[in-house]
Amino acid sequence: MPFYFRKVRRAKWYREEPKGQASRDDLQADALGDLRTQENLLSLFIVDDDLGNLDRIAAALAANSVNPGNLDYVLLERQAVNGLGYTEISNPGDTPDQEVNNAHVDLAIPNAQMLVDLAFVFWNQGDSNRIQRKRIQQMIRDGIEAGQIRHNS
Amino acid sequence: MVSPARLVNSPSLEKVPESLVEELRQIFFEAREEVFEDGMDSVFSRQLVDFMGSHGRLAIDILSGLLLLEKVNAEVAGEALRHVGYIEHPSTRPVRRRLLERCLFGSSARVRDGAIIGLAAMDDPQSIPFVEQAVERESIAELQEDMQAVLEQLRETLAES
Repeated sequence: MPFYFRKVRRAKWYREEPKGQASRDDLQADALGDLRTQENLLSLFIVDDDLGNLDRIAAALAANSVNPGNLDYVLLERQAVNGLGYTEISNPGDTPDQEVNNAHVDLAIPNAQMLVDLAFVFWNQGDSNRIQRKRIQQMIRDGIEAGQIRHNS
Repeated sequence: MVSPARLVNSPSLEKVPESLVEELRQIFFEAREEVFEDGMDSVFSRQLVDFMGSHGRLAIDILSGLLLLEKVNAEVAGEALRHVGYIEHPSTRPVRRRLLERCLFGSSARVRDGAIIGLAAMDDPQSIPFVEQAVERESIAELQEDMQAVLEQLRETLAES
């Protein structure tokens, strides 16, 4: 089953309990700041089952930055939101890697409460992680060299 | 809370120009509502970098006083610490590194996270003993993991040197 990928700041997503066992009351309010919607749509990328395109998505997002630092993200199994009322819409992304742009989707968020509910699902059932700055910068260099990341000099 | 032992060794704000302390306090105060995003500049980061560039060592002393005495918003403090590590300013490198090492033991997880990110950017193996100690003490699993990753990076850098 594929995953949803969302860039976040990991310090807002710390979770003491094992996956699936956290209390709603412990989710930091600041975490909502990492799920900003535009026109009630939440931007996400689809990561393959085998995580084969994870690094490429991360590099593309970091390459979009002015000054790439570490990249924090949260991964959530796509099936975790099945039946919860969210509609997935195919929409190309806007990174310097065209293949990564094809892995982009928007999730329609009908109202604020559903955004809070989604934040809890991401937090309680997802995994947060960090790619360190040194590695991300190498990944970007590799992506440019491989012709995957469009480089504007 | 900051332990008494750390407060004794914290820099005093009494011996620096009050106007500069107020200037930096104001920069922090105005940043409370800002949304920070990894890899992106912010009004705060630009102002902070300008302040550090203009006042060099004195700026770091003032910043140290505010951060170590925990007189500023933790989220903004964490953001500041990232940039303390990012900036290229050779003459203040040792004192910036020292500030980051001390902030590894701050009471706020956001501050500790900012400090480890700053140290990763500096990539200086001299920080290894401090990061080792921080890994041992860290109670938040994800942050401990991030600290451990930086420790491995520093050890690799040492091995390559």
